[in-house]
Amino acid sequence: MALFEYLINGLLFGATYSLVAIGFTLIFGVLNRLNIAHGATIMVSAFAGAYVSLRFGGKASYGVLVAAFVVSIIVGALLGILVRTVAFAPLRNASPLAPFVTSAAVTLILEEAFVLISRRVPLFSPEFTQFPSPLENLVFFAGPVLIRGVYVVIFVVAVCLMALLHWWITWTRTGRAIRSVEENPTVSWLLGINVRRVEVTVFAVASAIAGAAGCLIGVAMGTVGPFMGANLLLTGFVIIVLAGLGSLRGAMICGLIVGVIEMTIVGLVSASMKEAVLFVILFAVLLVRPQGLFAGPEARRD
Amino acid sequence: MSYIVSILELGGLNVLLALSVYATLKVGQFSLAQVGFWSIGAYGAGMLTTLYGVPLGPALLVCGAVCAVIGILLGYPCLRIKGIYLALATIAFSEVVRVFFHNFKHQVERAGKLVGPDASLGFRGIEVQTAWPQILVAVVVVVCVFAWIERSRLGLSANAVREDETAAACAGVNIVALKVGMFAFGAFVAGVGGGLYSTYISFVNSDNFGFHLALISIFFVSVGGTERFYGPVIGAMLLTALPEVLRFAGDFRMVVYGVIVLVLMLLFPRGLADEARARAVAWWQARQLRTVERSGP
Repeated sequence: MALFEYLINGLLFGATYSLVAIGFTLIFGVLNRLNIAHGATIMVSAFAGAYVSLRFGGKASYGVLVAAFVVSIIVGALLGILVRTVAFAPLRNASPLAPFVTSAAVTLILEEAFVLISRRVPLFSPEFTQFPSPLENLVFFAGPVLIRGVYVVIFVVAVCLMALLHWWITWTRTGRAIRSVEENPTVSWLLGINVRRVEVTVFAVASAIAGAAGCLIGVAMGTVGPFMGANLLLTGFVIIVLAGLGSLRGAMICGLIVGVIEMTIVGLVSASMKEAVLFVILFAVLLVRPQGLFAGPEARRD
Repeated sequence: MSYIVSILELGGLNVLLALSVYATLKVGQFSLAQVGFWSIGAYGAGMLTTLYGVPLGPALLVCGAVCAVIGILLGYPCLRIKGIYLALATIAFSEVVRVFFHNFKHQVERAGKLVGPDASLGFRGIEVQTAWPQILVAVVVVVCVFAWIERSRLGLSANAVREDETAAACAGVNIVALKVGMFAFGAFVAGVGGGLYSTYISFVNSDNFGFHLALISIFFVSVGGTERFYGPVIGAMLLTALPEVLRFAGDFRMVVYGVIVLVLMLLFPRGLADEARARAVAWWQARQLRTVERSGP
């Protein structure tokens, strides 16, 4: 029965990983660059949500929780545009190493800044800041299986967001523009697509999703901390490799898979082994099937 | 005075880390595995010297050799993948090593006390055997090897592989041997560097050898420059001294550090050394041209 519990809770929590990976993979698809600052974006938005919740008494009110969620999304989107402006736009023609370094530097700046902020702002606490929510103690049983209510809520919210994104990418004009830029930026530009605007949009949307993920993870964990983004970034790496870089649907599914694997290992083996197992899987997938589990045969490896 | 020496010592250790990253970049491979080799070297040398009384020199060579062998084993399958995928595979390696040492407990009684790696608490009480002379020797030797590689056929082939793999293969360069060889050499340097680090600092913890250190090692190389061996040397020395210079900024030191790295990268995307070299060459050519014009009819 315990195993069943891990599976269910892993699946539910894995939805937030899907959100993390989607934002990552969207940016990679359009720019062909990894955004190392994605983890820091998640962390900052989670802090923004926690601030709203702490400031306006989010312990008891669902309204404040919704407000915190919206604030997280907005902060994420703004931060994404900022990251693009600072770390990616000026280095369009430089080697791939340069944007890697600049986005890593942005990560360093944000992490160190939030170490200071969480020490100095009285609402926050130095190591882990509380993220109060009315969902904290909500627990119910499906038969003999214990399910945390907060997991159900974040799962539903995450799936709704993913459905919305999927619709947007598939059916809207902007979504089509994004897909064509992913396919071939130069030809898209020749066909009159404003590639620059597509990039800004993608950064804003991907980082807004990261913001949503940050808020949901903060609510689920009950705490946020300056270094929460680094681990999520590494989990995001594993997911997008499993899915195949640039594959949105794969990222959604693999997020859930990784959630299940992680929860099962934490439950059955030990918490410190979960990263090792995930990275061994990543390594194996890269060697056996570098294009990922969900990419078509035409996918490139470099 | 000892303060400046200690900064130079740390700088020297960081130069070794940066050069090991550079060894793989030289053949166009972007590897984050160096941190993994660094921690293998650090733990290995610490255990060999402190627990089993092996002298420092042989211990370092053993660690370097072990890392080189692991480098070959890791580098060979990794030939199939490149670019971002290689970066992700190698960070996976580093993380697995980190988790391994995070759970690794092996203690031996020495002089009535238990010493050795104590899982998540880290490895305390490593005998301090390294100071500036050892570091200086290691740095000089490694730099000389790189300078020699740069001027030899090996360096030319490496540059060819970095610029265009297919063309290099057509010209008769053995790509597999070259890539795996450079990967193993980078691993060797990182293993030795890690060993020097642990016997210098006397305490290591696997948690300090994570993704963060991997990013810092990339900072060293890319701020300095990736085209010639003196780029990483300059980058590592500069970025080691920077936090010390920034002491006036107090708590904001690391934030300012990040901002400076960001700005340097935006201003000189090719790295300081390479940008300076390119400008010097351009200036020299312009001067030559002027001389020719002046001496004309």
